[in-house]
Parts: sequence; structure tokens; C-alpha cells
Amino acid sequence: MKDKAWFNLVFMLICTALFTGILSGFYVYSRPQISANARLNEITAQLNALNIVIPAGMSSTDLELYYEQHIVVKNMNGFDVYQYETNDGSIYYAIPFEGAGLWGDITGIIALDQELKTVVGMDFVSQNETPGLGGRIQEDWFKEQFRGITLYSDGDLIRYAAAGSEGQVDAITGATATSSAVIDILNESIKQAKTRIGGDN
Amino acid sequence: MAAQIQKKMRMENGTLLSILKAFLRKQPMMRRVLVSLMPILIFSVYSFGWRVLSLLALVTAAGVTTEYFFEKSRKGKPTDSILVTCFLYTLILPVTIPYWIAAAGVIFAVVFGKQVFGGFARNVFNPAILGRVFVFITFPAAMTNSWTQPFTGFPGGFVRWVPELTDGISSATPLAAAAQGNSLNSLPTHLQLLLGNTSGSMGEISAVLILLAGIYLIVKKTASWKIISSVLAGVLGMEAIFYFSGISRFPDPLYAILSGGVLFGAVFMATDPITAPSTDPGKWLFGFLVGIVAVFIREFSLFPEGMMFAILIMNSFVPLLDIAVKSVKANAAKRRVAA
Amino acid sequence: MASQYREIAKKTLWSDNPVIKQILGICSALAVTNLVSNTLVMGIGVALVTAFSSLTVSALRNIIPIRVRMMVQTLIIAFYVIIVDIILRAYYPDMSRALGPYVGLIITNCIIMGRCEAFAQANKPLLSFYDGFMSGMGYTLILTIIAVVRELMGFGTILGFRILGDWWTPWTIMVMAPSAFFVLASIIWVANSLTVSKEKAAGQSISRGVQTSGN
Repeated sequence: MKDKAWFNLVFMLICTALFTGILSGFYVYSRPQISANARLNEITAQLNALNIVIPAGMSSTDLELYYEQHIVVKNMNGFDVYQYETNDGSIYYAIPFEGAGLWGDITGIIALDQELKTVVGMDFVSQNETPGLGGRIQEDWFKEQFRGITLYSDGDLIRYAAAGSEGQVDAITGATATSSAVIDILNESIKQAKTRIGGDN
Repeated sequence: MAAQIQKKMRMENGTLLSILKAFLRKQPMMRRVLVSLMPILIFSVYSFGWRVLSLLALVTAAGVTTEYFFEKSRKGKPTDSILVTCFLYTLILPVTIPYWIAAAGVIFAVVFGKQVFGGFARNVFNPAILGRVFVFITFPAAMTNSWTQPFTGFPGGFVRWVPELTDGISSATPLAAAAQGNSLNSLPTHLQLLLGNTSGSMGEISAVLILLAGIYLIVKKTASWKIISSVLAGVLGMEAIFYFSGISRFPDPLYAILSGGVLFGAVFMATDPITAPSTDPGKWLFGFLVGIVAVFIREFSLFPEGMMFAILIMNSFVPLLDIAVKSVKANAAKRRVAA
Repeated sequence: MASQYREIAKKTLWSDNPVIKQILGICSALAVTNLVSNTLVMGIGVALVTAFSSLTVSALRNIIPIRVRMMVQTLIIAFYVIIVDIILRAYYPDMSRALGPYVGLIITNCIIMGRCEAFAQANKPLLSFYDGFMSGMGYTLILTIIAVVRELMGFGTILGFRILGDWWTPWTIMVMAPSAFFVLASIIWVANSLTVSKEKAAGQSISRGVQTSGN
């Protein structure tokens, strides 16, 4: 019987059905956890960029509530913007950015004031840069540099301070490629945001 | 200090070479390359001070020792080619490079670029460039933040040890400046590039001297004029296309040839008889492709210089090129016979 | 019985080590070894997948038709790999992000298929489980050596703890995949010269055997 073609076929079918069945069950069981992780990553980045302090020891459901208390999604000219209004009525925008790094796409959030003239902060959602080199963009010292900087009004809005020229932030030594990729992505997405959000700016 | 330097100098030119002669396998071709490098070496000392020679001495000592160690185990003798490798490798480093990095690079080049393939004439990649790329990738800070302006006037670097790095601020090489899109007036002029009055690696800055060395090597039939001219044609042609489509980083195609390592690479690296094709059509194709790949890397990648990568990339295609040329020829001959 | 277990341990960890003797599992050896922590997780992942795949294949060995056994083995391996991937993504998101696509690529690791085909097909489930697990450990051992060298030279740390002081200039290439080639090659070089000289000393003929290569 074991040599018959029909037996091979039936055996394969049963095996496949069995294993994929178990797998699907397991996947469905852990899917909420996986998407919760992705969501958590995303909203943490937004809150960080907007400089909203996340109280320590928050569970993911608490964090979600906390997030909804602060941030509303606004659609501006077909473009999702995360808006944050403080108690005194000032408005800040968190804008997702995306672009090519040295090894793969870099995505993240940059937060700007209502006039789109100063940066509140920025954070990365995902990046695949070389660990220990370009990957250092994920380190706090690099991201914190962007807090409160005033954008230049013409040319590149954000610039690195280099020898003999002024700029707002420092690049990562030895990771020129990633550093310039980050700044290009940021400049590009702020420019896009300017045309989309504030047509009058 | 001066006496010490003079002693080093004498060591380099007299005693050291005569000691080396005693246990190096002689290769006239390689000797001629060394001769052609002498004016460049002297100009390098003039531009960057005596540290050039101290680096060269250390690199040569480390390189020859490594080679000797490996050759001994297979009962061979180091060849003159190791000297060429050490000289070329030293000349494409910045003068401010720390000694231990220079030594680590040459040891890597000899072990993984040459000896693991079975020693002289069996290596696939040009060891000098391999060492340079290793150092460039491994210690990016030492290789990108350490460019200095050369000494000028008389007596220039002949009375100095090394140009000072002002507060660790590096002066961008012409290539890096072009890559960052600096305004044209901050770039050195064609004449500066030609004469070598610009920052850069120890041996690559003077276009005139490299061209003279190239002519000497061609006349002496040591370097293939086919490879040199096809590399330059490849760079010039591709650069011209980008220039006229308005996307080039360089002021003009000629500038692209004079700056960076194009000339040095074309004359000394691409022509390395071991890692270049042996057939004539192979040489032409190899040269053109080196030039074209170098331009693409320069214009579109995040690295300012593409020459060393281009040569390494094309090195790996050399056996394929030679086989392709031979089989095309064989097929053509067969068809002729059949007809 | 006990000697059988000892024999397997000796073979998988050293004399017939999957990485340095059979040259299997090279793809992931290049990719994940820049940090010791990533390497250990990857190693445990491979060891568990190999162990459970071998166990399952061995348990089903008498009913799997010989013609479709490769397909069934692939199916079983894929099943365990996806389970590892889901567990990492759900409960260790940081590790999952660090390992990126490499967890999914465990499936292409020839060690797993190799053990299923060469050992589990012909042996009892428990012994197969042990053999699979030990093969994974042999893989982990070599990868950990590579990772220690790379993390130490590339960052000056081991498992994130600073070992080398400020005087150490990190070797950037050690952080990037190509360096694993050099480090792995050097390890194989040392290992081969050790075994070859031992064979010479024992007066045996030197036979390196046919080395299969793969991912």
C-alpha cells in the first residue's frame, strides 16, 4: 500500500492539513500579541517624538488609552497627521516619515509645531542600519539632538554641524552614509508636510 | 630628530633594500614599478613630511615578515611583489593614519588577499587595494577625518614630520567636497590637482607624477597601455554622459579623472599583471568596465571614491573574461574551419 | 546506550561538527554573529527546531512513504520554524526585530534537513531528538566563538558588557557580515590543522572526506 501513488498523495494532504491546521490555530492565538507589539512600537515613537512623557510601568492597554487622551488623527489633504493639543491650546503635529537608509528602509515619526518651524522631537519606528554604527541613530543622544531645533527657512531645513559650517545637529562619526540618509529623509518629509498641511506656509 | 629621520631614510634606501635583496625572489617587472614610484614617494615626503617614510618602513617590515612566515611554511621565498604591494598600499593611505592601523591593514592584505589563495601569482584580488578597503571599512573614522592639506613652498615637508590636524577638523579631499556638493570655488583647481597641491592620500595627489610614472611603465612594457587607456576612457566617457545629462557631481569630466584615485588606480592597480586579464580584448573590456563601475559608485553610492571598489569588483570577473575571450576565439576558429 | 549518547555528543560538538566539518549552516553564521546575544537566541532556535523536527520525523519514520519523505521533512521543519518565529514576534519583539528575516531563514539551514535525513530516518525518536539537539549545540558552539570574536573586536563588549576600555578602537568590519567569513575561515583552518596533525600522529592516512556545502 505504501508504494501506491494515491497513498503518497493522501498522506501528503493529511500531513499538510494537520500541520498547517495546528500552525493556523497557534497563529490566530498569538496574533493579538504580535499586532499589539507593533502598535506599541508605533505609538511609543509618536509619544516620544511629541515629547509626551510616558509614565513608567504602563500596560499596553493603559498606554493605548493614554495615547488616545493626547492624540487625534487628522486627515489633511489625504495625508494622515497625528495632532496633539496641549492644555493651553498650542497644537503640534506628529508626521510619519519613510525613506531609504544604507541597508534598508528607515521609518519613524517627526513632530513639528503648528507653524512647522521648529522640531519638537523625532523617533524611529524601524531601521536596519549596521548595529553599532549607523544603528546608533536609535540611541537617545542622537534623537534628543532634534528637540526644539529651529528649521532653516531655505535650502536644507535641517543641517549637520560640520567643520566650518553651522548646523543644528551632529552626525554620527564613522557612519556618514546613514547620517546623511536620515537627514535627507527628514528634510524631504518636512517639505512634503509643509505643502500638504500648511499651504500658506 | 633630523638625524633620526636621515638614518631612517638611509635605512630605507640602502641597508634595508640590500638586506631584502638577499632573500627576496627577484622580479624585474616589480623592480621597475618600484623605480617608477620613487618620484611619487619623494613628492609625498615633500607634501606630507617624513612620517610618510616611517609609515612605509613599518608597512614594509610588517608585510615582508608576514609573507616570509607564510612562504617559509611552504618552503618558498617572498618575492619582490610584496614590496610593490607594501609601497602601493602605503601610498593610498592618508598620512595621519595611526601606525598600528597601517600595519593591521597590510597584514590582512598579505594573509587574506594573497597567502590564502596560495601566494604570489595565485591571488584573485589586488592585495594593496584589499588592504586599503579593509582599513577603510574597519576604521572609517581614521580614514575619513584625517585628511590634511599638504605643505607647499620650499623646503615644504622636507623639514617637517607630519602636517598638523587642526582640532581634528579634517580638510575634505576634492572628492569628498564634490560629493557633498560644495560650491565650485571651494574645490581645488585643475592646476592644483595636476601639481598635487591638494589634500588626499600620500601618493595619489600629483596627477603629473603619476602620468610620468605611467609613461615610464608603458615604455618599459611593464604596464599595459591598453588597460590604462581603457580605464581612463571608461571614466571619461561615463563621466561625460553624466555631465551632459546634468547629474554629475564634478565640474567637468576631466576634473573627475584628475581627482581622487582614478589615475593612481589606472596606472598602478588595474594593470597588476596577476589580477588583470591576459588576453587583449579582455584587457580592453576590463579597463572600460573598471572606469564605468568607478563612475557609477562615485556618482550614486554614498562612498565618495569608487576606484578601489571598481577594481576589486572587476578583479573577480577576470578569470571569466579570459575564458569568455578564449572560447569566443575558439568558436570563431571552429566556424572558419567548418566554412 | 550511554556510550551511544557520548559518541553523538563528541561527533556533533567537534569531530563531525556541522559548521566546521560539514560546512553547513554558513548563511546564518554570517548573518547573526555580530552580537553574542543574537547568536545564542539563533542557536537555541536552531537546536530546538532540529531536535523537534528530528523527533517528529523519527516518530513518523515508519509511516512516511519513502518517495515523499523529503516533502514531509520540509513540511515538518517549516512548521517548527514558523512556531519559533511566532513565539519570538509575540513574546520577544526586541529579539525578533534584531534577528529580522533570519529566523524565517532557519528553514534553509541544511543542518536540520541533514539530521532528519541522515539520522532521524533510521533511529528511535528519543535518540533522534538528542542528536538533533546536540547538532544544534555544535552549531551554537562555533557561532558563539565567532560572535565572541566579532563582538569583542567590533564593539569591545561581550553580551553588552564592556570588556575592552576606551583605548580600544572598534573594528567596524567585525560588525558587518563579511568579517564572519574571515573569522569562520580562520576557525576551520585551526580546527583542520589540529585534526590533520592528530591523524598524522596516529599514522593514519589523511582523508578529509567529501565536504558538502550548503546553507
